[in-house]
Amino acid sequence: MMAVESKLVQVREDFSPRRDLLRRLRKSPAAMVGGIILAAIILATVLAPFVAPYSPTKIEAARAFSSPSFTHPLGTDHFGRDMLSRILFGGRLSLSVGLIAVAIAGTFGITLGVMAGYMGGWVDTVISRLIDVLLAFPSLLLTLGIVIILGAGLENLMIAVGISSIPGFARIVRGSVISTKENTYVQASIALGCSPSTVMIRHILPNVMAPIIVYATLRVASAILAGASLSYLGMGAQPPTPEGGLMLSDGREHMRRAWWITTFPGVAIMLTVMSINLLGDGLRDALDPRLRS
Amino acid sequence: MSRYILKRFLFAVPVLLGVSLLVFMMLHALPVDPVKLMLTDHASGTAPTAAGTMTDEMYENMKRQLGLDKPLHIQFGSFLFRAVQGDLGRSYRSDKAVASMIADNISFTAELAFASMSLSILIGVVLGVFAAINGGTWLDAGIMAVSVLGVSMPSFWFGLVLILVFSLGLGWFPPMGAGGLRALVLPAIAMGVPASATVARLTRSSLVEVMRQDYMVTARAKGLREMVVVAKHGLKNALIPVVTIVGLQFGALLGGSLVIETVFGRPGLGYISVNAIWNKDFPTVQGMVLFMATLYVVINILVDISYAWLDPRVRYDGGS
Repeated sequence: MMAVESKLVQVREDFSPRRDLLRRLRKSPAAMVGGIILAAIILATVLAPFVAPYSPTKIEAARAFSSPSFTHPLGTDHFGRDMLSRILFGGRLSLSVGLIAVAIAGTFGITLGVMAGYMGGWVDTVISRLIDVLLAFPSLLLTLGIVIILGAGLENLMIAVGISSIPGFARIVRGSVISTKENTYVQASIALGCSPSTVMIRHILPNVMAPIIVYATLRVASAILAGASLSYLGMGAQPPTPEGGLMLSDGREHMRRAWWITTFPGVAIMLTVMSINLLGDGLRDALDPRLRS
Repeated sequence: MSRYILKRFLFAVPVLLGVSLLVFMMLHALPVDPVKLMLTDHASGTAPTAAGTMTDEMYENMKRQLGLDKPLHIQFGSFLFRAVQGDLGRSYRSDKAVASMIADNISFTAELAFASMSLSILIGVVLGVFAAINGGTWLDAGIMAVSVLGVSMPSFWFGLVLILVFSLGLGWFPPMGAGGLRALVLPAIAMGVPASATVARLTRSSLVEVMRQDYMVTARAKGLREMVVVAKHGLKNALIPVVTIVGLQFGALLGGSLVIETVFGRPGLGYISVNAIWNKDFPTVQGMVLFMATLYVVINILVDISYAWLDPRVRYDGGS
């Protein structure tokens, strides 16, 4: 009897969920490719002030509309600004939009979702109806509506993309919490007299993290796309900020003269979003218990 | 079934009430005073009097005219009452009824949505099926890699690239405007192709799941040709979840029309909305948002109903 118990304990000590996850992720070539591209993008954008060959905002009229060359690998725009430098700095903004929006959405969405799922009753009814109403708007339209109220600008855009992602988070978390709530360990902690907040934070939240992590990762990708779309419409970053969507709308006016202005910023956004999507898909496969071998 | 349909529509009433309350509040949450906006920023963009000032009397008159002097709940009541009758307000700019602006332009958005949706289903289902029946091969991996690119692509940028190549470069299609099939091709591709990536991914995973089922083994054991097995037994069941995503896609397409119609300078609901935002024409924005959200809710109900109709296992009402 003793021997069996100590063996059980040992198995538990050997098992680290984090190491297990990394091992699974390493087995997925797509997730690895995504992770490596993303790491390179993050590194390049963080180091943008050091690696960018030129200032992203310095106007040099004499160099306007230079096509891609050794001095300007991705060409220059209508003000003679170096596209490569602008795209590197723009990557920072794209990633910030994605991360900050998801941080906002995650904070409120998880709180609302856990409350609705755990407490049930009228709390659940109120939160769920609110989620229903917010999800009744096409997502980009909701974001646009919030930006109109807050006023155009990059910070307001992050907030708006964040708010419009709250209902999705809340709904997913609520569902996971409802199914987790019935587990014996949750019932046990209630029976032991833990306060509702302790049960929610210490016992339920860690066990619903897997779907949240996957959703949050994929959501960063769609937040970046939404941010770029609204900046293209002039509702986000304002000139002369080097932001992808804004660069593309500048490029729209000069398409006949300079194809590179409308091409490269989009490629950069696509690569960023793709690397995050690959990583998110890999995470989903790695965390899905049905796929465990 | 008819009870389910009725129930589904009744459940939508509180949601639509909530939607209209939010849309109504939108105009009141704005950092600008609509009365001042109306008096100083109208049409010509100049002040109404030579001196450029507005008198208190003018202000009060306009406020009364806009109904903004009444308590908020009365205002919401009349907003709702008018909306139900199809009166979505009037543009600050052109003084046109928003409802008639929608009526004049909805056909452009509808043909774009229909074309891009058909394109996304056609491409998505075909690629998804190919990937699934060749599961694990380079063809599967290749299709899935392309589809990740597709979902990661900003559709408005794809539109710009299409203009660059096929309008400015090859001169095959007009870069702007609407009217005729040729003007529809590029915007439909710009919206439909990225959307098809989602459909392809879902079709693939759904068909892979179905292929594992016992009835597929039975169908093969009966000696049916693989084509028949996949098409009749597999695809028919695999496409049920795809119906849901197509409904959700519709929302993405409505949102996408905001950007794509702007990129292609193409008239439509999205183009009107974006222009109204640029012109600070808030009643038009309000009416458009309300209309598009309502349309989205109705489409989703229809998708739910068709889902219940397609899949006999789904019957939410227990009876029928």
